Amino acid sequence: MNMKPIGNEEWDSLLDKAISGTLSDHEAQALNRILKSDQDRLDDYIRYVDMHGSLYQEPLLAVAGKMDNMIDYETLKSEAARRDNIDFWKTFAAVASIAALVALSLNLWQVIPGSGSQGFDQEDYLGIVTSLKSEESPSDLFVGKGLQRGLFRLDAGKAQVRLDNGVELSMRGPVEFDVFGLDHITLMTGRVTANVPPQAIGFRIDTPDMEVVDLGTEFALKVDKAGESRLHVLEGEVEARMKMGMDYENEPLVIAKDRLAELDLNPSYLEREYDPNSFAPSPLKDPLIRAIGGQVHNLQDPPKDLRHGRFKHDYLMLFPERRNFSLPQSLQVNLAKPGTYRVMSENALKQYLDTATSKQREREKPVLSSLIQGKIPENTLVHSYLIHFDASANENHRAKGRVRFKNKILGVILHGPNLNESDSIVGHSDIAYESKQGRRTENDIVRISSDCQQVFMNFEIHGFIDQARIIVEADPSPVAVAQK
Amino acid sequence: MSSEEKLDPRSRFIQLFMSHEKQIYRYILSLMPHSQDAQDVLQETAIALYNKIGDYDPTRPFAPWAFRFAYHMTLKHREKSSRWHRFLDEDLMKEIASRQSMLTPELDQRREYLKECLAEVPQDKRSMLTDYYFEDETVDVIADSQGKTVEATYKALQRVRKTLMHCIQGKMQARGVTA
Repeated sequence: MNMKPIGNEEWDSLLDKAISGTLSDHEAQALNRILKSDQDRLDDYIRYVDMHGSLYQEPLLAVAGKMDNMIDYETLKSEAARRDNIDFWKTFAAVASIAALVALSLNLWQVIPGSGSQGFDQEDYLGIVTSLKSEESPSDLFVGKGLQRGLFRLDAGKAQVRLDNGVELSMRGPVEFDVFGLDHITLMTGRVTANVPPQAIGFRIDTPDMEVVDLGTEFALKVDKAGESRLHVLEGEVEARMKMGMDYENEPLVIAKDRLAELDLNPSYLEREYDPNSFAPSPLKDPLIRAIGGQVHNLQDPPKDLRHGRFKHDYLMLFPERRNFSLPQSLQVNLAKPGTYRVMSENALKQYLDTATSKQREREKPVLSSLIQGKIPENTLVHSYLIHFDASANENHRAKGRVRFKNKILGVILHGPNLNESDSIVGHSDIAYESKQGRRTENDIVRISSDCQQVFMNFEIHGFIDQARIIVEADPSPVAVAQK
Repeated sequence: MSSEEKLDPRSRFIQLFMSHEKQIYRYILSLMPHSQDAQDVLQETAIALYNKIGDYDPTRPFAPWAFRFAYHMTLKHREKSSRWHRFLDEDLMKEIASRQSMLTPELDQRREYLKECLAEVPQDKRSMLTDYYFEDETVDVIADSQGKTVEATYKALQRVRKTLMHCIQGKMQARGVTA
């Protein structure tokens, strides 16, 4: 087959998309053809990917840049050694879990998930339910539920799911779809709207009679009981085709939101006008969260039960409790000033002061978990968020991540008794909180950025749950501004 | 009896795997170049190796033995993703694996030059590489922390990688190493 020679710019772009995992189907096929037919390009590809892999392992990158932001503070000899160990243990964790499976009898293993916990370990899951507004949903569907390959069903109401590649799926019940992988679902019936970020371009939804491939967009699909599909493009563009049918409808057709008028053809599946009631709504994004990083998952709605052992995850789960809420009384917070803190009990602090290296002390400020660094005045308008970490294993478990807000963080509450007290002030009325001794901050790292908009957490748990309540300044209402 | 032979299978596995993990990871990455997918395959490979460590003949090199498992795990993983399925067919995977093995001495040399080239990268660009490669930050988070758009950050990362490739190539040529 004759092939058009590829330009260097296009070649660079293909390589970059290959390592970013953003190749479209068309590009994947093109790269396949080039590598098979051109030995020089194949060698270039191997060199490029080898450099990319080496950068992940390059100790020089460990000592450069902003290491203080995410430093692990473990007592390892060097940052390179830290990286090697993290990589190894991340991989080895998988092996260890298999070993544990072998060691446990099947009966014992089956007992563990039945302990009343809702949640998941990160293995085998492709996403998470971040919002659920439904009275009729089955009891095994809940906010924070991990999404696995296979069938997903919502009988009524609305829900939102985030896949691990960043794709947000909003749905209106009744809806039923089959998850094949991160980049492919089949919508059997119902209404789904997908928002696809750049790194997940190529995400595909099949329906009984259609294939829709995202090209960087937000699009809405609905499938009626007879299996007939309708499509509306809300932003960007998609490639769509009918699986059966007449003439051009079988061929892939690029449908761009901004160029609908230029579309000569009028495919029967396309709804040019958007009726928000007949499709699922656009996926919601928390307007106050600018970014999350590391092992943080943010949920749109709070989970129902946060008592010890009831909502277990391998992630730090972040969710809103109250929004635009005027404090009925002043609120004590453990941390309120920028800095890196290691939060400890009195005994642990004594031990730390005896053993910590001077470098460690330069990087972090050891504080008692009961420290009160500030008080937010009564009537302050705030938003309240909770970070919850209750991992699946009984042994020590560590997770770290960060969240950047659009507004200023007024304070962070970490100490068990202070969390208990503040539940009734800024907590969510529908959440069952751990109210006994189950919350304990021990040897955890919290960093508040100098602009007070970002908080970084490195939490370790063993037998207790870690929580951090983050109080964020709310925008004053227009009326309040006018009164001032 | 050598000290290696005295170890129990689990300890022997840990020792062998730790000393070859980077090599196995790079091998997988050449077949499936997205880091998260490659990490997943690496985990699956580790499990397979752990289960089969009893079959390993310690008189033979570990890496080629481990690569065979990695190859099959990559094949299996590729079945789950339609995109990889379109990019990687078995013929191409075999060709990549074979060429990679032939290029090993050159790739080792290039990794040495990569260190030198990295040292020449300006601090702000190196900081971005640190965020991406060491901290495992997403492009969105890096873009946000630098006040840039996601698109611009993707491009900036692409440019730094390209600069590094040119730099390595320049050093190869200057020192008379043919690529």
